[in-house]
Amino acid sequence: MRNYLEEINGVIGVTGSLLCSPDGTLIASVLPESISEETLLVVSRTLAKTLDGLRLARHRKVTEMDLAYESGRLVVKNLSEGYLIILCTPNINVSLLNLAANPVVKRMQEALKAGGAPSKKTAGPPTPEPPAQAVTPAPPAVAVPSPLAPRLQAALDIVRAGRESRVVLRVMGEGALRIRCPSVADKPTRPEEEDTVQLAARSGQPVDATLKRLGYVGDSRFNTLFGSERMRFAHPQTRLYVEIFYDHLASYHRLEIGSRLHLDNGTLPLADLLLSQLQNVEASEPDFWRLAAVLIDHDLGGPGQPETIDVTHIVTLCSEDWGWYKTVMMNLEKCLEWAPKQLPAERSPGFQQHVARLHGMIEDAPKSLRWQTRARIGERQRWYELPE
Amino acid sequence: MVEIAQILAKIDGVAGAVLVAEDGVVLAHTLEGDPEKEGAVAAFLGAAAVQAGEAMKLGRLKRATVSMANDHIVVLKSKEYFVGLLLQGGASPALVASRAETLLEGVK
Repeated sequence: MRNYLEEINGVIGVTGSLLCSPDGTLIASVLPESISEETLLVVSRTLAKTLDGLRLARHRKVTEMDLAYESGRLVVKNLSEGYLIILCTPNINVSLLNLAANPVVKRMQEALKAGGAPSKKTAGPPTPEPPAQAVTPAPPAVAVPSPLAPRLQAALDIVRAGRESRVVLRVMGEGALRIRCPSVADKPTRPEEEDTVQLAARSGQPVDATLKRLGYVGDSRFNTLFGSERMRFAHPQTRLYVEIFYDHLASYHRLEIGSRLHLDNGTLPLADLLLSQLQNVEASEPDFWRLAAVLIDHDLGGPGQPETIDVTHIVTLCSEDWGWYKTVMMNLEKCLEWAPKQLPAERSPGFQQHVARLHGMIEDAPKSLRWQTRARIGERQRWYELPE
Repeated sequence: MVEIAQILAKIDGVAGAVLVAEDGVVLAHTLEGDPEKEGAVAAFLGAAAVQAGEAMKLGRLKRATVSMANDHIVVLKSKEYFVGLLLQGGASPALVASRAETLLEGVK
């Protein structure tokens, strides 16, 4: 997506652009460095909520919004699957902007509909996503310990096969952590995870056809009962079990992942992997190791930086939902107590620094009305679900 | 206030005008439909545009235009209130906004 934005930024009078999801979550941005992530978050959320509010009020979709200020201009285009916000100079020729940007916008729409992958029509320069062969992060997949490598490789093969048939699949759970975080590689695998991989998908996509092509057989009873949310498959030869989660991960908290699959190429984004660990209200020793691995191996960052943890997503979630806030903050605080005792001396300070920074950003972020209302009730009412 | 709304409504391409305080209270209008609803839309859009501009340090809001297929709404910020202009089909938001800004300057 950054390539598309860079193309738009090439139009005379455009100084930057960003792409956000319909709920205002940042997907990618190419803007002057002087604009902070917090600012981007405020703008994308404000504008997304405004467009949604106008749609509800007028019962019609807002196609475009043009905000003219003394020293700049914001042009917002509705891509259905998200919003493109273009920052321009005040005297920009909007007709010229539309003429130059609309073909790119159309390609962005197609890519968003296809889950972030470029359509065949738009393949070629600029290429927004690596080709199927370059499923990232392929190098870590090779580097993981040999007893696990075939399982992880099989998971990435499913992702690749999905891409070839335009089905968006991403590795999640323990497998994704082992692919993305070298620090977790030497930790023992839970017995129930040794022969299973978990993948995330969008509902309505022909996932079963993709898996069947690779020789997997569906668990017909489970899939009939729970197929709208989860599906299970097994490979008769490799004895590998595959579990598919559609659109969300429901555990102690509900983590929406359907709209975020396109943000990374092989696995769920690092922010979602971290959240899937931070949501654990009853986190134990192995959970802290996994949590630590994400924060040790990756820097805190922003949207559009797949090798860093997009803290804006975590901060947004915790600022909207008090339950998420409570559990995440509780686990971050536990991490700070756990790290000095358990982590090697050379790793502990960096980890604690990341944890403290994330804790501070969540604490300082403005909270939604819903958050404040729920906060008044506090712990008197259970703030999490009890997983099955 | 009513006069201002009437003057603005006479601009070529304007179907109706509403003047609304920042809290959404309609001060004056020339609308036949639901002025409260249109006023709320103008205040909502205006407040969001001001907030986004302040966050990006883009200076004073001059105008906000929203397009819904062939329908356009233009919102201008005056000192104490927002001006919402509902445009006729085919009207140019930029031209209407420019004329409205000139008229509002004259009113001050």
